[in-house]
Amino acid sequence: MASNPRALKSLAVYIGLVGLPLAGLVAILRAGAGLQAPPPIAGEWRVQGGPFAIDPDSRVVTLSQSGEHVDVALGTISLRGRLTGDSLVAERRGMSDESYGPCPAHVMLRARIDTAARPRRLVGMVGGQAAGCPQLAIDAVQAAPPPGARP
Amino acid sequence: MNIALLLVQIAVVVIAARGVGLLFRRIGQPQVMGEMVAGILLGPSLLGWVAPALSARLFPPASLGFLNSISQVGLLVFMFLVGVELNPRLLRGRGHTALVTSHASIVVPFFLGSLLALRLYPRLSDASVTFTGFALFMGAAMSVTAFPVLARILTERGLMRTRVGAVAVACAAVDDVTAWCILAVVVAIVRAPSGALPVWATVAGSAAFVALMVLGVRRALALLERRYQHNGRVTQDMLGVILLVVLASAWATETLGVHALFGAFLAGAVMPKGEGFVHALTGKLEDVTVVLLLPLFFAFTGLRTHIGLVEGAEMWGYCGLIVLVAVAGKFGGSAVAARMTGMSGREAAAIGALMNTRGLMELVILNIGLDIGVISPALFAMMVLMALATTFMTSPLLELVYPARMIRRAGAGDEPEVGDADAEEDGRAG
Repeated sequence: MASNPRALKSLAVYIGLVGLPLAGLVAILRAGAGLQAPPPIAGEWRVQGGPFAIDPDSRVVTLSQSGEHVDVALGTISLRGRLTGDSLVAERRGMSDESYGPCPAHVMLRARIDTAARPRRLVGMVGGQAAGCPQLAIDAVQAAPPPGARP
Repeated sequence: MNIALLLVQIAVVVIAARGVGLLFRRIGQPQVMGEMVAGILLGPSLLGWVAPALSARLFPPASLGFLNSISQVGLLVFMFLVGVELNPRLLRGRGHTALVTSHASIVVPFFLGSLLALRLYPRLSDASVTFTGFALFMGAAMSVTAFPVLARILTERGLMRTRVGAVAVACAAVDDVTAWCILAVVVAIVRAPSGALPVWATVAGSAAFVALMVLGVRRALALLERRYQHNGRVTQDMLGVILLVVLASAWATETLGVHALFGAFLAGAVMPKGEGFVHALTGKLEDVTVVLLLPLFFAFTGLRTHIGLVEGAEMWGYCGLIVLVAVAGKFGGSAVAARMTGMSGREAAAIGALMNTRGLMELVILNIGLDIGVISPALFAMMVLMALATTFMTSPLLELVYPARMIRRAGAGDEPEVGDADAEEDGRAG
């Protein structure tokens, strides 16, 4: 009988530190069910049409995604940007050894992802912002993921 | 396969792991902490950043598949050893404190990790992952404790025979088993849409398989222990049988849609627990696994950890939040539970500090998360940093809240356990 108060205290602590968080977890899962995450765009996108002037040897745009945060590889040029809704804006910041025509430092990609299309399409413009930098249209479709990759 | 390159890779990884591990040991950190850092240093976060040409020559992407395959075999054996060293006797007679603390040390960080998912999911995940899968994974990743490294720290500090040590080791054992069971469910949920089996089949199949292992295979394996007692050693034939059990169990859980590592852990958990047998078995497998194979896993983890993805105040803010939530959940949850069930403030804080150790077990879980696509590369990098931070802080935090003089005063830490000197020298993964 002497241990009853301790047992009761342990029970109360158990309910407070285990039971309540478990109930909270159920509430979190319900609340989170309505959250929207950005569309999945990671992987290779095949450039359509003629030679891709950024890198004529490459006809692939590779996107690496961490939610809203996207890394873009245009041939040898790497950009970093953000996906907001279906709008992707990425840029190369700072100086780099790589150059894109007359635009040695700053290259920007502005594109829209058509998530309704099958396969998905990426349509936009890429180029430098400085005067004389060419602006290049880009139109790419998402390549099928390799077997076993997540959709 | 370029064998020459593979051999060079392995040599570089082992040298880096032993070298950085030694440096970390000098500053009072466990060897495994240095090995984890060595893996990061070999990846794009340092070597690929300062010497990209050398990095590309040493670790070309096409070669990483071989490195990964070898490291996965090492990981299977390691998870088996973790299971072997789990002893149900640790859980007996620990009373209310251990029961409440162990459950709170899982549920509180799990809850906080899932709560954090509400913030991170729209920003660092994408719609190919459901919120449920993401939140459960974040919860599971937050609730891990590295049982092996915790056991090693307890032994090295002479805490094993104190009340703190007894409660901590019991809680860590419960946490390990629970975290892996939760992870198995999470993997089944995440894989279900693209997997060959529906979730119910995975869950039912896994439950049946666990029952088969616990009720059937465990009894059959008891014959091995009897044979060990007869021979006085684990023979190569016995080792062959044991490794086949590990492979079969890993294959079964992988086929069921859970993960091969769960099967390896389960095979270890159902092994006979006689002290001599466990010691002989681990002696056969541990050194090669810890010195050669696990560093390859750390290197492979490092090669996929791009700390450069964590850029800008917003991303570092998320990273800080992850570390904060991880510490608050594990340290806070364990310490509060221990304090409220009768331990002193310092003892409770020591329990919290010990349970906050995540070590290698966290990296294993994170790699699974990245493999199945439930976490993104940037979140993976943040979680790896969290694993390093929480493992690094264990020793200094423990010294702060429960210094050596208090351990001596506890009257149980004056005689280190057998093998402590070796442990100090060898270090141990966890």
